[in-house]
Amino acid sequence: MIVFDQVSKTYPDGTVAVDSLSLEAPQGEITVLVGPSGCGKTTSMRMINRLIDPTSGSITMDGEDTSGIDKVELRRRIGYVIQNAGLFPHRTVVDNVGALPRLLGTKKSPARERAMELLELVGLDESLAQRYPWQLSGGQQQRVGVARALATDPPFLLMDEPFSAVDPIVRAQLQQEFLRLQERIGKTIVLVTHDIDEALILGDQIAVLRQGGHLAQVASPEVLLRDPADAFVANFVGRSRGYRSLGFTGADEHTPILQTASAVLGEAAEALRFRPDGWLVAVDAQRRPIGWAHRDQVGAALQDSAINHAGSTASLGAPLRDFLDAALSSPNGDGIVTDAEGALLGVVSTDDVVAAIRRAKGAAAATRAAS
Amino acid sequence: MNLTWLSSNLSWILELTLAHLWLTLIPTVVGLALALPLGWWAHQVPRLYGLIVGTSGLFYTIPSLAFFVLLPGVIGTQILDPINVVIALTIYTLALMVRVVADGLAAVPRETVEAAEAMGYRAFQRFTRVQLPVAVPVILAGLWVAVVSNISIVTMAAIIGVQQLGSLFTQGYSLGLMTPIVTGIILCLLIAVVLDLLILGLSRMLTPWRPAAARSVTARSASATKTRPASAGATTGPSRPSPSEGSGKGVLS
Repeated sequence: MIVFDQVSKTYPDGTVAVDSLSLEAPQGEITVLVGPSGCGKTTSMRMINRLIDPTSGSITMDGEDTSGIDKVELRRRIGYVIQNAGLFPHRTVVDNVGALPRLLGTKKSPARERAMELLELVGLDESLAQRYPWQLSGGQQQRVGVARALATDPPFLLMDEPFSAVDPIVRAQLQQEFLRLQERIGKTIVLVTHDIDEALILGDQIAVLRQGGHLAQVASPEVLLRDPADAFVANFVGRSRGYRSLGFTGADEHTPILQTASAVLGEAAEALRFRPDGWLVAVDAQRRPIGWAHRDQVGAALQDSAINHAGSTASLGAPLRDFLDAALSSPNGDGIVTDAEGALLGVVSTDDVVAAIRRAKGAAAATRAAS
Repeated sequence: MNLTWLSSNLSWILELTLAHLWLTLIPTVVGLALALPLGWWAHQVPRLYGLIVGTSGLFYTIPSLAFFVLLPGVIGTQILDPINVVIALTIYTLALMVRVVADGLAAVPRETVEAAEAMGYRAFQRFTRVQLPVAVPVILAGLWVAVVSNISIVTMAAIIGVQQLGSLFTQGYSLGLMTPIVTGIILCLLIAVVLDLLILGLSRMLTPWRPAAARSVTARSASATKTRPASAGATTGPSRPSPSEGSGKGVLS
């Protein structure tokens, strides 16, 4: 656990970068510092490994005051990942990952062995091990950066805008992989980002900072969306926060999943049974839904060309957001629901999803009133 | 060409060539060794960059002949001692290389150095394991300028009686012969080519990590030493010669 206690940073010219920050980064969780530029989030993070020294207050790691630890020793206990990876251009991928163990005296061949394991852990093919950083894509460099930070298996990890320099598709992929990685390694992580969406995806806990280094709110993503502390946080969290907050609430057992007409792709027209409104769900041989088909569009047989692909699907147990999206994106107002294997289960109507949302709101309000 | 003169002086010419080579190489190596900590210091403390680079650059303006003549009085050596030449050229090399080293270090990507610091590299470890290896291309490009300049300046030492290829020029002048002069020029060029290849080889050896295209370009381009645009105008002494200025110095001053 990393604990900030009344930590401030004031520069000689009087600029207050961080103002009396008190914050806990719990063991084995991802704490995200987020805020607009100039809010002191990076400064706060860099005070943990003392790249910047606080003006006042204390930071403790597992109960030990960091100001009493030699800077270099302290940094060697904390993995560090930065934007653009900051790889050593003159070292191969495997030697980048093994650089710190080598510096600390590990022999060359065990260091390389460990590095190869780490490359596998972050999803890099071993054929890339002998390449130099300039021969890698941005996403690959960032993975090497993560592997390098894990080289000495430090209990703590600091990440400064780790996924900001890659394109959105690669970023989403890296974020998901990173979450899966964290499930395996369980590090205590402090991550800085300016991107609230990234914070909501990655954070177990999110600290929103505002200009001048004030902490505006610390909360789980769910609470941040449902119950922002003030107008600044609400604004920063942004539009569609109501919709996004549904991502943290499941549909309750009172939500009806209704039977629906369905047919396997390729079936002859005379065998098809449509719903009263003329639609049916087309499925593949494993009964996984492909999309909706309307009676007027189907010719001699149920062909892919007749299918409307607009509808998304929600799997049973998914958050309400998936149910609502399935219902809203459907051409007929009914969302397709699948089981855990992705096979068609039934449909849920927009009205029933909205009713489920109302019930969830009521339950949340009741909990808050009680507490 | 006077072949009789050439054949009867062959062993002397060989001696002069070897002496020339040593008088060039030793100051280059020592000057670089001294420039490394100074350049690092100038890079590390931006406030001192102008002072360190400017002051060391000033030494380059001292005419070489004056240097050769004045040094014995300052450090108490014999006027004919080759050590005077070695020290003078070491100072010239230092004058050139302090800036080159500082700028080479400045060209190392910021996030690379920051990552090393955050990972727990001590300052000296950062310098030897990260900054210096990455700055090698810029430093070697600058070193080539220093070498060429030294090859040329050494010849001036003939005037104070230190034997090297420059002695062929004074010999040719006093005998009224072109052959020694032409021989001297050709051998100087030859040394320059050999040392250039040596630096190129060194660069290849030390930077296997660079894209092949970039390697062949910067090993020879002195423009690689002209980084740090922000301070280029404000802080300089009179130095930063192009290769042609450098090699012209020995003859003109």
